[in-house]
Amino acid sequence: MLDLVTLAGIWAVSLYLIYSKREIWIRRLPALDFIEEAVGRAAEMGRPVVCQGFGSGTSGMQSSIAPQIMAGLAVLGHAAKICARHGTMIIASMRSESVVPVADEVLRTAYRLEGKLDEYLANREEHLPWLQTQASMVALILRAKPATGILIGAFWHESIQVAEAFGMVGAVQIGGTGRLYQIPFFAAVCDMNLIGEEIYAVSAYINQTPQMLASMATQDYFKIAGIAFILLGTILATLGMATPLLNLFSW
Amino acid sequence: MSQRTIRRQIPLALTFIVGIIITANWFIDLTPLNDLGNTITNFNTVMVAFMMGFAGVNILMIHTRRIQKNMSQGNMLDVFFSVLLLGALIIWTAVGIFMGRSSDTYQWMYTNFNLPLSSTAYAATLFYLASATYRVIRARSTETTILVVVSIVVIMGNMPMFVTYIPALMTVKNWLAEVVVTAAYRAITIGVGLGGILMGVRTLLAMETGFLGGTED
Repeated sequence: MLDLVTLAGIWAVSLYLIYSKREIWIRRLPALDFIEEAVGRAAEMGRPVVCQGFGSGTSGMQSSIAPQIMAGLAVLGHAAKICARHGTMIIASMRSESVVPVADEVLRTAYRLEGKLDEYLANREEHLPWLQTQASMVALILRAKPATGILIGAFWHESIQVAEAFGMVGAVQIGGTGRLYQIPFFAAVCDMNLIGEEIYAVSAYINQTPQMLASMATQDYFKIAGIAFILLGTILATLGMATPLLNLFSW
Repeated sequence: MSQRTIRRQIPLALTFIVGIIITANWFIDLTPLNDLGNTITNFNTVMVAFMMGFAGVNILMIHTRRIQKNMSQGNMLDVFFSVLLLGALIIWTAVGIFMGRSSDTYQWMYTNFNLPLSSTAYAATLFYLASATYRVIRARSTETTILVVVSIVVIMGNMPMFVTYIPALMTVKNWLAEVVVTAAYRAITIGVGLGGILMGVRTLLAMETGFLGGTED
């Protein structure tokens, strides 16, 4: 029952903030600002940009990692627009077959918005290889020698292999994932990082519409509520009076 | 019907309808709603199968073109790899369709080809880890210096050789794992959970258009 109440609360607060049209400030995300610079670097060097991280194995748009995949696709769209503008090749490879048509649509739209749809269609297969294993991902990076590697989405143990392969060819890397155990790898290896929920802020950060900013603010309000409950729980547990709170959370 | 309606409004409307049904199905125990939810889930499975076909065609197109290009340039090794991949794709698909995934042939292929290749690729992670560790150990900033120091303490805390002579290492390692790391992981877990829910809300309200290639307006 508590999950339903929480979800309803999130909807209510989110809609209230959207329609109240309050001015909302969000902090800078240097990793997203860096994408433009990284693509510019690739354009100067005449090398491609490789964007990876759209699910793994059979886990795709139909699994619990779907939000992370969608965040990765939002970054792909953003990077593809900049690449189309600069005339830089972007390669979007993915492990999950269910993401292939969606990524195709994302790239197609990005190129169309920049008025270069013909350029995308002529090289579509090169833009969109479907790679099933980490070995293929590493091979692609070593073959294409990209100047920039963008790794946003859900990653498993292949994260370190792919990130290191980018390092081997001298590519700058922007990494981000919501997968707990892969975050340290990216933090260690990548030049720029998005940690945890920051990857979900991509669309809001890029578009900065009041509605998007409102949803970001909702997230922060609920995080503050979470911190308040943690502090309250700590105090109550110390005093041996945590039972009502435990009952509330098992409701 | 305009291109905008086809490419943008219909997908967003479908996303909203399907999302609301699936969310309601999770919380409400109502037979017609549950049946509808199950039908949508089954439809999703069928769609994924089609997407698999799309991805297979994608691979065929890429490697056919690559074979042609490499043949003309005389890169016979690359031609060999592409032919090998396409051959494997066709044979695996044929065996899977005509003999079934539980057939002896499919299982033999899985055990003797897929398993050793996957294990090899997985084992290679070790070498990448070693290389990554080397890069990290070159402490470039305060954060990386802290990371290096903590890594060294944890590595030493896991080695009996050091723990025997410096027992405090074990205490420090356990404290780092149980207090510092757990606190950070829980904070990230809460953030990721909330972020995922909000992403869902934005998607249902048609505000999140990243998966359709961004905003056209």
